Amino acid sequence: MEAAISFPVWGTTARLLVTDPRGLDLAGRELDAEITAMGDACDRFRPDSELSRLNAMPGRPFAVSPLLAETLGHALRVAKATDGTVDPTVGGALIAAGYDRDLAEVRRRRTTAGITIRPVSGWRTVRLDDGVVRTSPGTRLDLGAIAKAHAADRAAKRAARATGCGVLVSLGGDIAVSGPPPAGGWRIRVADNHQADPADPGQDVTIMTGGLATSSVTVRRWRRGDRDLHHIVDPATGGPAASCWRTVSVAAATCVDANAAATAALVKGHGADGWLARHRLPARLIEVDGTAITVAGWPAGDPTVATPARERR
Amino acid sequence: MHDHQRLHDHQRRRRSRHRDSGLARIGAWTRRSIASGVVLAVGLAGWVAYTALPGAATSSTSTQTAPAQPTASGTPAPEISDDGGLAPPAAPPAPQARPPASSRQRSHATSGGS
Repeated sequence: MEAAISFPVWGTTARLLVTDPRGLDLAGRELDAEITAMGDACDRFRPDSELSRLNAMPGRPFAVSPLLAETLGHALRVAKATDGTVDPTVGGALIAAGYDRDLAEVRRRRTTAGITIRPVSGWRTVRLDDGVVRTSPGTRLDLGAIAKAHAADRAAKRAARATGCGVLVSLGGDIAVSGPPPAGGWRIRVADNHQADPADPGQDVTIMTGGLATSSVTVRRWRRGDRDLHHIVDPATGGPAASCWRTVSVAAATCVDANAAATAALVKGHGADGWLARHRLPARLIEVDGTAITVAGWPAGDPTVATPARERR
Repeated sequence: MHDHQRLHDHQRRRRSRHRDSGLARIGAWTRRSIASGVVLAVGLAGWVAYTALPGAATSSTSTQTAPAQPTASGTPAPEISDDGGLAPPAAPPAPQARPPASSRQRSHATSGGS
């Protein structure tokens, strides 16, 4: 019998499950420690975070903590692996679009100002050598999605190691599991919104190891001037990605890789299903009209999906 | 007289060789000392430059969590693919076995946009 807790964090919801209820308190402390450490290092909304201090001094070498170096290392790795479609230098573009604070505050703020869109400097302009980061002048890094996924990976592993039982960590719907899974595997509902009602359209799957993440342009949205915006930036333009997909879910060896692949698919648009299949990344892509497509072994045809899925290879 | 002269030359050559050998040792020791000094000075300059970087003082005192460890269960730990690319899962997600509607289990978690 599993035990679970949920609590708000980083403007979204954290959920922790353990296969042995006796391990819940200890696993919760491990998750808390990981969230605190990652927030201290990578929260760009906190002026006292390491990332904010780094962003305040673009163009100058800046020595960072091992955790920030590790997270930025992942960000640069996935930038290369996704052909630059998931790029950590989109921080300035997000700020230009008005996403410079917690999303709830962004939505409350009333402004008629438009946005200035310009291409980002690009991940190749960022240097990370022996814990020292060098960015080009004007560059502002955003590690939000990678940091959230990396925190889930790290927290699941350290909680499983500390408790000896199976652990699932979900941070805003980005899921990492570690340790022995429950009988039949971890049951995951896949939907547009991680706070979806069970009656909403979605699909039920199970995973045994690794990570599963979903990126969507339907949830984290706000209005600026006369434009509807979302948080998935196309680095090629510096503006919100104009995708043919509304939601993409991917399973991978880690939550970081699943998250990066899902976001990359949204930015890549047409052809993303083939790209995911070539990389053997099981995925479910939802087109703007609600049609579901599955690739690389993701199960198709779940009757709870509003629009029947079809498999592409 | 001739023998005495030869002995004198021999002793003079011996003293000369001894003096040359001593000078060579001093020269080698001096060169080693200078090289060591240069290496130490470069190292010290590098350390001073590093500690003077913005953020260095913070990073040296920040509390860090333990590095990633293998899972206690022996379950394969998440990996990065050899080429740094995105690593696929050990197995794709499976469809959930569906119990009767009356006893349907809730999902452990929901993956969706946030």
